[in-house]
Amino acid sequence: MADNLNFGEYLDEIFADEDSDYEFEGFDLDDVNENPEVVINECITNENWVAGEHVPLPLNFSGSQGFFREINDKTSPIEYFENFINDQDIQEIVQETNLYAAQSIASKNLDISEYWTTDPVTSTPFFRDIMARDRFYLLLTFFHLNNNENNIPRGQDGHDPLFKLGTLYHNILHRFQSYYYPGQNLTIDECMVPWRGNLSFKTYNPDKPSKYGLKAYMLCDSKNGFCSKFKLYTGKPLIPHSSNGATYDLTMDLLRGHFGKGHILYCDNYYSSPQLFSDLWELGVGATGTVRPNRKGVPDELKNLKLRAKGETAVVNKGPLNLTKYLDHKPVYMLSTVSTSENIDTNRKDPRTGENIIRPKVVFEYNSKMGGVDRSDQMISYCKIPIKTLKWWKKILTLQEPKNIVKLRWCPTRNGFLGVLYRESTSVKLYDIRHTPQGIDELEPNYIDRTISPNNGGQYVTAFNWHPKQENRLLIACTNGAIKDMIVHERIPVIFSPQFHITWGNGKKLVDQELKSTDISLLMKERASKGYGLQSDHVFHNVQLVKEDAKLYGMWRWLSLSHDMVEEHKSQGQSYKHSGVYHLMDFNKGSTMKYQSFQYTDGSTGTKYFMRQYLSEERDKVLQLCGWGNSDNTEGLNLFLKELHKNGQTSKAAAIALFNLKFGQTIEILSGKYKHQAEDSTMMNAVAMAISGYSEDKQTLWRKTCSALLHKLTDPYLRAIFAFLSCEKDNYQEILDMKDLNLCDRVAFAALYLSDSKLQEFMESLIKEVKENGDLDGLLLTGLTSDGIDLLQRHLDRTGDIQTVALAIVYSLPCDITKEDKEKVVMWIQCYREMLDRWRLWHYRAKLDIIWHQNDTSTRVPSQAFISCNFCGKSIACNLPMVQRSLPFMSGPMAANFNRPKVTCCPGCRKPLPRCALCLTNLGTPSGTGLYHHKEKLGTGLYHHKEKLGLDSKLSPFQDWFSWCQSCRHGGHVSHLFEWFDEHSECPVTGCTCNCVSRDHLERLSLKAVV
Amino acid sequence: MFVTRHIPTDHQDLIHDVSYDFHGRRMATCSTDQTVQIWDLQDNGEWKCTASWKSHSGSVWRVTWAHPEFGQVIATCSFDRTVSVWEECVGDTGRDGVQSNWIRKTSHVDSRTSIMDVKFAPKHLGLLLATCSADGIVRIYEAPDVMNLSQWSLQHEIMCKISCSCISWNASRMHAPMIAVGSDDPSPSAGGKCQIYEFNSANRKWNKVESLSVVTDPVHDVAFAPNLGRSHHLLAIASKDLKIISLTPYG
Repeated sequence: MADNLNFGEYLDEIFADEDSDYEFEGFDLDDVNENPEVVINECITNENWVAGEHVPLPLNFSGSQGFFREINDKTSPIEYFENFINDQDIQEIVQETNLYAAQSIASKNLDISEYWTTDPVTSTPFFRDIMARDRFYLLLTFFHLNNNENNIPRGQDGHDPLFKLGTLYHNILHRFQSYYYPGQNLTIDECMVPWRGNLSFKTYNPDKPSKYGLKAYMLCDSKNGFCSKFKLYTGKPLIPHSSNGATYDLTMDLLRGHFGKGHILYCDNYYSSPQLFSDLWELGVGATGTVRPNRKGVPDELKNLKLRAKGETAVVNKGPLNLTKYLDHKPVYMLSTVSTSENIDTNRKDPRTGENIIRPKVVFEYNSKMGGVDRSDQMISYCKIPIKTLKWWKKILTLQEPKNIVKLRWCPTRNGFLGVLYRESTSVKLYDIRHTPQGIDELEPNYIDRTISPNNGGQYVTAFNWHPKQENRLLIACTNGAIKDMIVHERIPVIFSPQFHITWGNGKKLVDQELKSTDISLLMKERASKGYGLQSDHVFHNVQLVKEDAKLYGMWRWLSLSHDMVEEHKSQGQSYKHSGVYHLMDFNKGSTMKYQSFQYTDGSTGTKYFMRQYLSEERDKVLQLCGWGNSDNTEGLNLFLKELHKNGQTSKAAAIALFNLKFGQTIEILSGKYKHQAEDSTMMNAVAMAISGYSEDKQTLWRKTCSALLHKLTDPYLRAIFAFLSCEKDNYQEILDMKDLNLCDRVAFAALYLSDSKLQEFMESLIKEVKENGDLDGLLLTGLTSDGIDLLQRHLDRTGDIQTVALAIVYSLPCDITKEDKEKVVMWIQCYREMLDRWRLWHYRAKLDIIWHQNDTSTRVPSQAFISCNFCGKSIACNLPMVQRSLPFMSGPMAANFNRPKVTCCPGCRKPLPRCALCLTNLGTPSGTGLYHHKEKLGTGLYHHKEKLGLDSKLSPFQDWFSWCQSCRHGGHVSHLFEWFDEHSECPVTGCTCNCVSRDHLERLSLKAVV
Repeated sequence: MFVTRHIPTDHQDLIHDVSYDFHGRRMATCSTDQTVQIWDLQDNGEWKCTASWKSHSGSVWRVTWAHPEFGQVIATCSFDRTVSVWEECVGDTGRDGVQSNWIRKTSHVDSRTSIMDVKFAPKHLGLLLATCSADGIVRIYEAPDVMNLSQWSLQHEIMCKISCSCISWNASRMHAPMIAVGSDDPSPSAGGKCQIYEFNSANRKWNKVESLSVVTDPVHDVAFAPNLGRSHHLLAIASKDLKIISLTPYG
């Protein structure tokens, strides 16, 4: 045998190959050495190479390509298959399987039963139809190919990694060779069989598409890819390889049987070396392949040679070997015993330059013939069933629990609801894991957890279970034997609608309920829809709409009277603002005010009374504001009394008459001169009797009796009457303190009978009181001053009745208040307006705005829409004076002409205004339909900004107005547009595809309802 | 006395929020099934679903309407850590097939955790959106140009240092912008579960003005009452029980 001294060097060289996919550790040395055909001549070194190339000797192919057995088109695939695995193999499998079955005692617990499941979701009838599950189990358990008793375990001498495959492996290998003889060109390459199972010689290469698998070295026909021979890589062999290296041995082994027949081998640089190719040449096998420049035998001169241009080649030869260095993107070393390096045309075009690609012949040959194994792979892939070890499950989530879990239960009614119970826990933990997004590697846990505790005095929970049907219901058992029926509650969304509905979610359903209550918001909407606060002509009529709330009476009465006073002042050319009576009295004016005491004689009875009444102009006004009429004009008072009487407020009428010292009238009222309600007429008569007996003497029995009687009376005005009659001289405190008298009556009384200082004191204390209570009656005193604002604020805080407050302000404007207060006041009105908007009471709000701005002339409402000329950009508004300064050349008569209400052109530049898309007349001209009675079809909201144009003095009919689509800006006379859109939905302008009608949501809704 | 009626929805799972628009004639619902539905009140008083679409890749916690002045706009927040703003766009569908089309105008992805609540600010503050997330950050976004709903800028980030569950704007015009934030942190030691933040226009920052220590149970919802000109603010807090708190500004 030809042992060589240089073997050690080869060994090192091959081990230094770092680029190789995997270090092939070689085969049995004997395989190579014992081969009688292999004659290894002297080792090729890197010396003795001669420059240039030699002409290779021609190789005559003497093999006979073709099948050993008759194969034709009629051969069925199974027959092909049987050529490789025949009945004998099957028999062997059966035998070995049965043998293993007999040997095995233990039975394994496998779970491939999923293949036989009858669950409609995953059921796969194929498997059931082929074989019964248990039979499959049995076969699977004992499937075997070799006798285990002969196995030599790993690590011992004689261990065969492929032992389990038995003789099947070798038989198949043999048949591959004996079935078909390949053509002249052969390829050696490795291929991967993807597989992730558990095997000691499984390889791992992270750069490959299939990272895990079995590696096989294959010898294939270059042209058709037929695999003639292959060798599985089975890990590092125990027997060392020959001195020429593991890949040398491997190649030799694969090619055994093909020597001397003129084959040409193509292989990559993993296998090639000068030594190998040279030896193969001796054995009658040509070879071409890339070679690594660090292979032993590659001359340094060539390695160091610099090639300049792409495509340049440099060639050296030695014996049969041609070694070509070729510069592509980087230098490539080609070793061949059969090919030369002259450039040939590859008949392929460069996609960039369009020129034919020129390559050295050796490169071209290599590229075209190397693909044998890849071809084989490709063929296999067409009919391959992927042998995968499938994982059916995928980890979505890991829940870390502090203690041992004793029970886990999915909720049967809710998706992704998991109940967990730990040992020694007083509660059940619920996880809602359906939120976990699938397919995303989440770093943070994505679940919602809740704790359900039965609150059972610290007792541990021993078990729980979900209700099978009802959502979120579960039973919990505790250590003390108690069983609790629990329901897991979810947060219920509740929402209150501006339409006074309350809606809440109930699981997957919604529940809606109309709200009926006496809440102020409901009340306000009801009042607003009745028109509360819009009676600007008869202010007092507003109170008719809020009769149910007596507290509002006083305020409206004051507003009404104050309004009358404003009107009165206005007619006299004076300005008067809605100030309160306190302000009216003007106490700061000092001592110029003097009271007048006088003796009053009732004309009807002739009795003389000595009462001191205070009179002044201001007090007169106060009385008037309180509704008691002027002192010098008894008519007003009489009217008031009559009205009170008519309304059944007899006692009040009587008291007021008395306070005005009209004794006769008082008695008349009480005794029923005016017809009054009959129920308490006897009482009234009794009071009338008592009054008739009035005398001035302070110490009479009558007076004492009156005082005694006073506290038994329920009617506050009757009590006031007695108090008035029986009081000490000028001491009216008792009456003034009667809180159940109307505030305005108390104020009027005070204005009549109190001196300035006392009146001021009384009013101030009263103001303090009403401010504290937020009593709207108090507006009479304060008016819309800062005190009044405080009062209103207090009222708002107590009741939230923004409506009345806003109305009170609107009706009492203008007023003297500070800027801050003014802001507050405007804010209140805005609040109310927004609320009206929310209720869609737009008409009401617009009317309110009108009243507001009528009363408050300080703020001007800016125009909300402007029209500017298409050409000059100036505003076109008919209320603007037709300016002549821009047109100085215009003569007077022309300008006068311009002042006509009809405007059909821009007043600035005289260019015509846009035309109606339908009648083609200019904007500003009448439509012609407004003259006769047009059947009105008023749409809602289709056209938003109606701008009155053309006629200044009189309002032109709606049909004559000009309107346009907000989207395409085409428009015309409203009446024309209505006619058009009755039949069409598209814009009337040619070529405009705007669907004007569908632009409006409300319109669409109403259309939908019709459709 | 009370008549309740059920509105059948096609939600496949629990409804988390219902929201009315400004006028109460439109309604939006959102659910665990990741969809949002829009309902329109018809003239006969029945609700009709006019749009339904999958809006998020997680449970949709809340939905809220913007003031109609800004268009038909809603915002949704979800477990998938995003907040989306949607606008209704009317397609050129003509008279028959009227189906409104809701377009996602923007999606805020700043949060690292689930967004628990989203609310539009009252109209007078402009187009502002407040969100709160489970990790206790309140974010306030602003659309500087109300015509362009796809451009939002993150104006403020308020660290609440406690897991947030709900948020509410104070609608008062009289007072500086104010937000109440509720927390569903279950531990009683974490302090007040409802915090009030107020915008300080001097240093342009949101400051915590109050932490309601009376509320120690987890808070599920908070809501300011409409102000209606009151001098105090009313705040309702839904916890284990319901608390209505009156906040009176001082100074």
